[in-house]
Amino acid sequence: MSLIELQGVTKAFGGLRAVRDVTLHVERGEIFSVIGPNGSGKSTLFNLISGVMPTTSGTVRVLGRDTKGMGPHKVAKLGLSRTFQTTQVFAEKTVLENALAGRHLHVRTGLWSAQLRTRFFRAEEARHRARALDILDAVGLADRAAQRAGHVPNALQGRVAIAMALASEPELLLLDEPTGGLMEQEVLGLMDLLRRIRDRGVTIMLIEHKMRLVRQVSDRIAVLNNGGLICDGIPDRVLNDERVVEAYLGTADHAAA
Amino acid sequence: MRQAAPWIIGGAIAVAAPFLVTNGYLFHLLIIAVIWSILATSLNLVLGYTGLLSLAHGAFFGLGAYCSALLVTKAEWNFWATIPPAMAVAAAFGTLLGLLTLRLSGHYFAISTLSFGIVVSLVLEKWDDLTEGPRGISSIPAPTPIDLFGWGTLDFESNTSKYYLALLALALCLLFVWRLVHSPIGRALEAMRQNELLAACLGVNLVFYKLLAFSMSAAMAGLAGVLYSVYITYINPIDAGLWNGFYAVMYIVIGGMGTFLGPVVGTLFLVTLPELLRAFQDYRLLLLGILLILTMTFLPQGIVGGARTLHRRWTGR
Repeated sequence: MSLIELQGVTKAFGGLRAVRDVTLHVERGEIFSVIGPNGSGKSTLFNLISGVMPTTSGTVRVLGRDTKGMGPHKVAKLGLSRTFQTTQVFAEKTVLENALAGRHLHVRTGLWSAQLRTRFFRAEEARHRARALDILDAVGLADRAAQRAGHVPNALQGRVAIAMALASEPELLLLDEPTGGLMEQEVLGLMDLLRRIRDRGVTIMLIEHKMRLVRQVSDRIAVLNNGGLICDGIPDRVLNDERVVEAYLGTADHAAA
Repeated sequence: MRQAAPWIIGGAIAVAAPFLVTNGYLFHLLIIAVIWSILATSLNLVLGYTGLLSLAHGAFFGLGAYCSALLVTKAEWNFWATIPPAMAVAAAFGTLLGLLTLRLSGHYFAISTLSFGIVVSLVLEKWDDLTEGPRGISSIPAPTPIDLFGWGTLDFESNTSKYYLALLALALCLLFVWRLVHSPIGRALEAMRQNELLAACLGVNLVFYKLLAFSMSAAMAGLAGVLYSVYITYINPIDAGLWNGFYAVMYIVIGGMGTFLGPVVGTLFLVTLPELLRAFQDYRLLLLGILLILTMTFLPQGIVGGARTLHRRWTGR
């Protein structure tokens, strides 16, 4: 079973078709990258998959379930977490509290158990805290746990967002340009992190602009241009494909003209 | 231990207050302030922690007050037995209103709750057979005395006993809010307030959690209404009108929105302020207006937020 299956997915904003007739699938255990020029519909595609926007036509299946009519919280419950292109964290809260917020789907405590501070409640809180600290450790934020997320250096805020997404223990992680604003050295660190996350059994779908990262970590790549899928497959084949080079650089004719 | 000290001192002052405040009128203001604090605390749960501007809290307050007063005066219920139904009625209306309006955002939500507030006080005014219309319900008896099984009875005729009753209710409400906020539910509410989209993507069911916060808050506002009715012994449709809700918003803004003690501090301050300003009698409202503007400009987090910032600077943290 593919973790994500898109069948003829289209999203129109008025007359503009931001995503047109995209069909693709993401398999368990792979790092699947989506690339394409600015405005080619990558982030919209993520919004459609994560339930943030409804599709205009076509079907989205996440972990085997058709997500028609599901809001983002229901898609999240299927086992999908995501980050956003403009990094979204709870800036006023500490890094640990951010990670704890990511544990929401695993909370079993009810209102009265929390009010009475039952043994179950205390044990569960301790468990979530330990789990959240584990994840902070895994993404390299252990020493920042008590800092407010808004005060963490920009380069690390993306990691807070990733930690939050991972805290819900998803099967599928969607990362929208995690290298935004990172320096060369930090990109290498992130690449390493992505591989480790994948090795823990999380399938990753990635939107990325840094080609070196894409080439090195991706198992497969899909290329969008003007909302349409122009090519997908293994990195070497896709990145050398004529249509892809054309989408990024323009054709030889254009160059001459 | 150092953290517990301010709480113990604050609690001790609150408990000793009847002996410290000898002026009858000031003591009356104090009781009223404790009751309004409960209303403000309930509103803080939705306005401060969840980020919903509700103008219907005056109506929930009134529904609680009417429900209890009617059951006591017309059905001759024991006062204590009227508290659960009064809170349940307020919560039920809160849930109903929430189901209809929580999908709306920002101003639209505030406007629908405003309309609900108007409707409730109109119905209370026009439904003469049940509510006595604009004449209101008078001579509401004091809470039923509690038999202490051979140790005498505990009656609630005196203002001191009513003060302690209101104080106990406030303490329970604050405990409820504290434990709620410091639980996974509180985390979900705060996540929603700060970033709805992100919260939803983390799996938070926005409508469900807003509804939960809104109905709990409505129940608490209903409790404040119940206490008001037995203290003042008279209620009329104006008590269920918009003003109580607006005042509660003002108390929270001055005290500190989304801070734990802000609603209490703001209420105490604003209820006693007119007394402190006696010398400027004619200019009281003017001064209050200026104070509101100054607070919103220089202390967006209210008195408590400002004090917290000062404390942080002082201790260098």
